[in-house]
Amino acid sequence: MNRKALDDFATHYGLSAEGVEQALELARARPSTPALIGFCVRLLHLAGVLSLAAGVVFWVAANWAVIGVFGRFALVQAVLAASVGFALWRPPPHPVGRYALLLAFIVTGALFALYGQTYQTGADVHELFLNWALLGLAFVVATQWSVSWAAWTLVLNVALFLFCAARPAAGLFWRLLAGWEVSLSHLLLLPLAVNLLLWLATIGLERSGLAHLAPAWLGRFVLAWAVFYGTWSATLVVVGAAEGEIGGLLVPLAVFAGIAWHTLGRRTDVFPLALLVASLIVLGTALIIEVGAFDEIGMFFVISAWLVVSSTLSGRYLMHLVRSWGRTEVEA
Amino acid sequence: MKPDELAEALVQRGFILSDAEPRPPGPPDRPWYVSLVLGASGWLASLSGFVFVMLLFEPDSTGDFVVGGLLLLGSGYGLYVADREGAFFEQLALALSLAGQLLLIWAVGESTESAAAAAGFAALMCSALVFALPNHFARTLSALFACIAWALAVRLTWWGEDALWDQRVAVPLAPALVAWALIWLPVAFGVHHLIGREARWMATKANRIARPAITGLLVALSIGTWTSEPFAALSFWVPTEVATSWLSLWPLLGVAAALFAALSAYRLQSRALIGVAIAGALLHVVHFYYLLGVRLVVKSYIMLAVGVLLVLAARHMAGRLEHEATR
Repeated sequence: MNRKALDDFATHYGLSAEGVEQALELARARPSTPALIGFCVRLLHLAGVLSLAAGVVFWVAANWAVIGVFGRFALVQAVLAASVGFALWRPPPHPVGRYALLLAFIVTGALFALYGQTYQTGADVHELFLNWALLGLAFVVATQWSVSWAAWTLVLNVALFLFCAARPAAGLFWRLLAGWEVSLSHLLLLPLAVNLLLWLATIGLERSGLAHLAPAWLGRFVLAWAVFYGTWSATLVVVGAAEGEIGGLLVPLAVFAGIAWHTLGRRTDVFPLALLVASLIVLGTALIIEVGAFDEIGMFFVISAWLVVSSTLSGRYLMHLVRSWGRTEVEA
Repeated sequence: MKPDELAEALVQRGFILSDAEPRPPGPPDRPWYVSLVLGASGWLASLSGFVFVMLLFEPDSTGDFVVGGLLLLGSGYGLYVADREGAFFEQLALALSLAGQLLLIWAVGESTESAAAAAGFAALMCSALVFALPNHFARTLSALFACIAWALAVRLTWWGEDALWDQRVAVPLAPALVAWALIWLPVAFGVHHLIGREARWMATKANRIARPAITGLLVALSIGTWTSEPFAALSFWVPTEVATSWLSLWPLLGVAAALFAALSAYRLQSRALIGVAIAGALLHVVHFYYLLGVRLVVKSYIMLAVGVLLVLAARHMAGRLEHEATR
């Protein structure tokens, strides 16, 4: 029982303070003193290790200018080699191995950044992140850990975001598309498709022996990116920034309909529908701004009213699903 | 333990009458992502409503702002009272009350021409709304905003608005530490006090106020230092002069506050608040990195020293725990 349930319980039965104390004890709603101290120890340990790591990063950053090129590469590669060494000493799924390989994946990105900064290759930032995702994949696979996959997904999506947002007309990756004159709204369908495939992969792994690699939260994370790109693409069409590019609107809406159909069929998690609702609120707001024949005063009133009505109705609908599907998130 | 099992156990111990009516199953808790959608929409609606009121009525005197603010805040309060159990008007009430609060803060700022006075008023108003507003989410937000406004009020009163934007304002170490303690130690004490007396206020109607208040205070401890100065780290230009300002230590102290919030959230068995506290601590470390005022190499030595102390403290506590367990 969470705290809210205990509050309601105490109020319904009119418990005295002593009764509430007993209830908290029986419900094991309070950690014991050894458990509290144990948590404190873990917290201090984690904070201490991260503080030391941050101190090292700060020190390196502060002295970066005086460290020579060789020293910089030696420093970063030493950390990479040490991480791999720790992982070989205590291979995953041992925690040491997992954290070491996660660090190795992160340091891979730092190495690419250092290389690009030092040798001025002319590569765009999105290429750095894409190469990081591709070449760091081996470390991620080796960790056998969902947290590493989340980090990899983040790096991949940063690459896709930079590629779509910056739209550089150079670089090997861009040259593959150069002859197609792809508009931004259509280009955004690429990251939408990539993240959708990743989401479907997490669903496919649910009942397999690799289910631990794709917990529910990772699927939600990937789906959030997919809905983000779809919303972005559709919004561009709605506000007229991508005139005539109707595919940029229809494809995301079709994808959203598919996600909704799948979610309503499974009846296990309301989160995808919450994402879709948020997206539709954004699209509706954009549509009002674009086609609304109002003056300034009327526009702000209509937007305000739309936000209140849409969020209220969607909130009621989502909670109805939460009640009927019987799944809740534990909250304070 | 399920509610009916708990009730049975308390009947056996005499804390509940044997013929007491069983508690009906309550509505499910609102998932965090639903609260996020509703909260974000409510905020945007309140900002839009605020602009609408400003454009429509064109208030040009303090009296106009006060009247408009009281009307909106009063309307929001009325909607909360009218729809206590449901969510139908909750979003509209949230938007109206936030828009009303913004107008009142604007009124104070306009009349006093002082950001510190506006922040101080906001702190008092939000503190009062924790008790007045009959809605759990609104009380949580009010507690959070009261802490942020209090932080801004102390800072702006002590060093003025220039310190927020001008890197040439020097701030010695002792005043920086005293000011931070003045802001956040009362909040931390409030949290500790509320958790310590949880059983007492859970047994009274005060739980309707204390529960959302403690949530708001814990979120404030987790992210408060950053939210009260979110733009300070956004220095897109290199200033020609930077004075030594020990206010740049505040994010590091914010990490300590976030860790205290994590420990308090663990005492309340709330994983969501533990997550917020850990995320807040990490955010404060990034904030500490970018804030100007102390040289980066000095910051690195501070982080290393703090890291060593924390690890030693952890080992000492672990040793004592092991010693107690073997006794």
